[in-house]
Amino acid sequence: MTGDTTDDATPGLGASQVVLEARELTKTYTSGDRPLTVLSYVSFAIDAGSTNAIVGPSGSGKTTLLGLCAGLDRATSGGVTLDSVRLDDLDEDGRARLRNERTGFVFQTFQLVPTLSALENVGVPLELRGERSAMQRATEWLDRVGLGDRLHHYPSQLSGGEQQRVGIARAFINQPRILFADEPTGSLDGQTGAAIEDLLFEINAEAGTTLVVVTHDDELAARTGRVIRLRDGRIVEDSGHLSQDEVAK
Amino acid sequence: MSWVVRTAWRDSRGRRRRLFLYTGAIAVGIAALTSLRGLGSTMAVSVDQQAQTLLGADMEVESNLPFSELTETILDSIGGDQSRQVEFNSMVLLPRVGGARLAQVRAHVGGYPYYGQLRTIPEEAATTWQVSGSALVDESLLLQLGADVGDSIQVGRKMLAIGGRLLNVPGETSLRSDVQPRVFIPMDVLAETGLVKRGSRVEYRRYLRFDEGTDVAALSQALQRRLGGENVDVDTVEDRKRRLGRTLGNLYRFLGLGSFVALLLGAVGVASAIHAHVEQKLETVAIFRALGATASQALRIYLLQAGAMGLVGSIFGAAGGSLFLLALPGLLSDFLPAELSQVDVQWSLWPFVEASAIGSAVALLFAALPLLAVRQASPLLALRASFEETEPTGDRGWRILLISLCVVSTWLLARWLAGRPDHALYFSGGTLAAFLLLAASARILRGAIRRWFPSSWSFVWRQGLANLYRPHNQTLLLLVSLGFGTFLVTTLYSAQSSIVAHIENVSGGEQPNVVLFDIQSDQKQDVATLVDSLGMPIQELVPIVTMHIASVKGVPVDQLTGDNRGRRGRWAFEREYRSTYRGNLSSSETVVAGQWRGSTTDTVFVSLETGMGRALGVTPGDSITFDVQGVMVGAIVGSLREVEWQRIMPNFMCVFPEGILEAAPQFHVLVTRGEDSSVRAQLQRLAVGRFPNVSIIDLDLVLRTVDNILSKVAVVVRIMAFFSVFTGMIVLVAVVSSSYFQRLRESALLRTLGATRSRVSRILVVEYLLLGGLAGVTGLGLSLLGGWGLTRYVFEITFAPPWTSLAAVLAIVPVATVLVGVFGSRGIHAAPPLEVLRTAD
Repeated sequence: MTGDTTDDATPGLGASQVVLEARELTKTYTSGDRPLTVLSYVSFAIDAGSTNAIVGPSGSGKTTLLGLCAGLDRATSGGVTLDSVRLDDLDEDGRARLRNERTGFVFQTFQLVPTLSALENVGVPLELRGERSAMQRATEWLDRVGLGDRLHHYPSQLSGGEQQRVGIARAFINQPRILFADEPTGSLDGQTGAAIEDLLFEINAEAGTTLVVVTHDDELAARTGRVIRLRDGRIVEDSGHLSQDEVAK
Repeated sequence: MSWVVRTAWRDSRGRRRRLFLYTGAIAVGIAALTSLRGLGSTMAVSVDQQAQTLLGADMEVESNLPFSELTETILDSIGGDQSRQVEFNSMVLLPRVGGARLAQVRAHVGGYPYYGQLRTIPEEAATTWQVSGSALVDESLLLQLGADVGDSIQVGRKMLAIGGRLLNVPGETSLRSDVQPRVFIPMDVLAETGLVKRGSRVEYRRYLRFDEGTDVAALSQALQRRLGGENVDVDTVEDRKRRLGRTLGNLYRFLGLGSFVALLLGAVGVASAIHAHVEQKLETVAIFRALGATASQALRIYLLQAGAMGLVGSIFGAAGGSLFLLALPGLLSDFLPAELSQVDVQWSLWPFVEASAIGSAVALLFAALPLLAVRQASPLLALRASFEETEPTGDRGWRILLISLCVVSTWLLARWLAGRPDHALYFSGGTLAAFLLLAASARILRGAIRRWFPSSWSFVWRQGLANLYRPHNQTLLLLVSLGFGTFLVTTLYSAQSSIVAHIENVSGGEQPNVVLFDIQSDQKQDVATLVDSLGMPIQELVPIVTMHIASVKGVPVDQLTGDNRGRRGRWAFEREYRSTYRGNLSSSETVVAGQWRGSTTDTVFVSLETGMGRALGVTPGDSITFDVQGVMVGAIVGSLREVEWQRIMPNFMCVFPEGILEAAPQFHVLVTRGEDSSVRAQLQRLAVGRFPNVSIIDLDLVLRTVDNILSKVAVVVRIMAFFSVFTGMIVLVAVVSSSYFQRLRESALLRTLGATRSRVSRILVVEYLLLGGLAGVTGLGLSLLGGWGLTRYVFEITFAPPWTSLAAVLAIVPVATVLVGVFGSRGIHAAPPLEVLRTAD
């Protein structure tokens, strides 16, 4: 992995506690011949071990922000520092390694590989690192999420709730510093969704992982310690900090 | 085992059957390659092992003149076993059945063949015919005329008993007996036939076998030195091997084109299959990338799958090719000496390994291009199914590199198969041109449908048509592969049909259909009377004088051929000319340079055919000296003529004016027409009986022979076309299969919206019907162009495509496509729509 670490490069933000910092993030796409700005000068910092929600209506730029913070995409301008590593300085492979080592993901549509069993899906992050104990630990994690008897089932043989449990096990198996969850209950019915929420927060608390959840569910957002609200690509409210508008005023 | 390997294996779950199907595309090409390479090595070994059998002796000495005393003395002095053969063409008559035919008569004395044997029925006839004074007659001639062993055959003035059916002569192909049926007679009856006279075209041969250990090559060189001025050719086993090697090489190259096309189609098929496969895998790639896999790791997963597909396909192909190899010598038996068509196929591991490696490499290379999409796949896809992305430019360099590698490897493959760089260029260039033409036609057709979309047509037809240009369609690939197969088959068929139609045409109407030649001057009147008595018109009766060129523009021909060694056109200096003399131009001739002069004044003005003039490098006014059977005749080129050679009438390279050759030894040709085949047969019987030296060609028989030969040639081309068509069908199955889930969802969606199963099925039928129809039309259109070019410029005849058969092809291709397409899509209506729509993959 290449890139400079910035242990002392974030003055005023409580350097030792900050695990994620976004600096004036802007993302512009070209739609047809016209530029379309979906994020505009978004800045915030997230402390290690905290739970955070990014909320906002459809098209407000939530998922784009999550993608940029997790190093899944590059910003048009601005930068992201994740666990003291400046993502802008990393090439694509460097970002992939960083994701593998320090992040976990829970997706709205579960995103399990259909051709892999539940056990194999969970084992992927450790297998990518070449860890020999990947399958043993995946078994433990599936036990932990209550799927000890579904190890060899394929995603198509699991219910939506079960698939998301597999997704949660996969997200935590590499003991990430930060976990990104994109509408984790968005594809589930209310009861199942609530159970998944409980599981996610329970394991997160046990592991002490920083949690960043993107959601439009206010109830879910309310379970986090901090809510960042986006509208039209800008932060309009940050329960932990002043909003950009407030800063501007 | 690394994560990449494990994941490549795991990721193929549920798709292995389909991936295996894709391998079929490459397998056919590799099967073709393995069988042809195997045939090549088998033949090489067989030619080596049976080289002596192929010549029948250690050495053959040949001349078109009787051996001189010096030659006889030298040949007698070198010892060994020796046999003599005199060979010429003559009419033969089978009195019991009343049939006559032009045959190649070979008078023999001695123990030839020394290696291998004549194969006859009865078997013992091969050894007893010379002693018993009987004839061996080609089986094809006996079958054709309905005669058998025990009947009599009249050769010239001599009547002989038929001692055996001749099945095979060492080193000769069975095709040869169709063109020129052979009749073997003992040498001691040759004089009694009265057929060999001064001026007759005769080949004299001596076959020699030496004691073991004799240095035949050194002996041959010494003989050639000593017989340098004696107009003889010395041929050894090594010479024959080289010639046969060249002939076989041409055959392999021709068949190699078939395997080349099939392999290329297979590679394109694999690329297309990988393209379809990867498109469905991009989300999985995005998940892996989001979880931390690098672009290179993701790429390697699918490269490994593509390589494995290539390897498995190649191994199956190589195995299939090895089995096909067993049948190949039999299928090609008409073109191979009998000794080679009956050889035991040599199994060896190397062609198997070679073909497997080539198949894997080609599959991998062609699959790499669509696999670039994996490198480009953004992990962001895991968050949302679609996102706006700026134009990817990072892989442009890779794309150019891979396309260049594909082109270079195509040329290398062609170079390897063709053996020569120029042939490789024709191979790859020709195939590429055909591919491009087909691809361009497909694009134009697709664009035209889109441009002029028939909005008023029924829903089913509109859906079927729209599927041809929907995203991820395989229209281009299918049109190229199926179109190419159709193109190959129908071009050949059109050309064959045109040739046959041409011969039918030239022998129809008032055109001559019987030619009598070798008529001696003193027989001229009697032959004309005979023809006339049968009610047949004498359309032409022309004299022919044989001659050679002695000098051109004052330079002796020996010197000229020395200077022109290896040059094209050398034939014009060395060949024997059969010229005529007359006062007028014939209806098939047009003077294009100089002036026609029909009578001799002080100077002899000759008229040359333009090709001959070009080859000799002369124009009107230049001088040529002809050696007319020992008499030097000086002449000036008076004119150059264009000649319509395809007209069935005596046409000549060189025409003399009247008043100079009348006294030269000559024979005559008479052309006539007989409507009734029984009258023509009667003329042949009577003529052979009364004028044994006169040969008669019945064009009806020529027509049948040509048709027969073309049908045999067609077998070889069909083998070639088979590979292409079969690959096309496999590609079709693979493509149908790769879009199975898309169709499953489309079917579910349409059914959800109220379409009946029957309507969804009809949409499928329409789509495949259109695909097959367009492939048929495109292939056929190009074949008409190709067939026209072939007949117009190569055969120089009128293009006469067999419209009925072509119409049948136009029906067969779409029907076959529909059958394969519908078969591949079976089961898409089986699952309830809800179940399908809820299933992500």
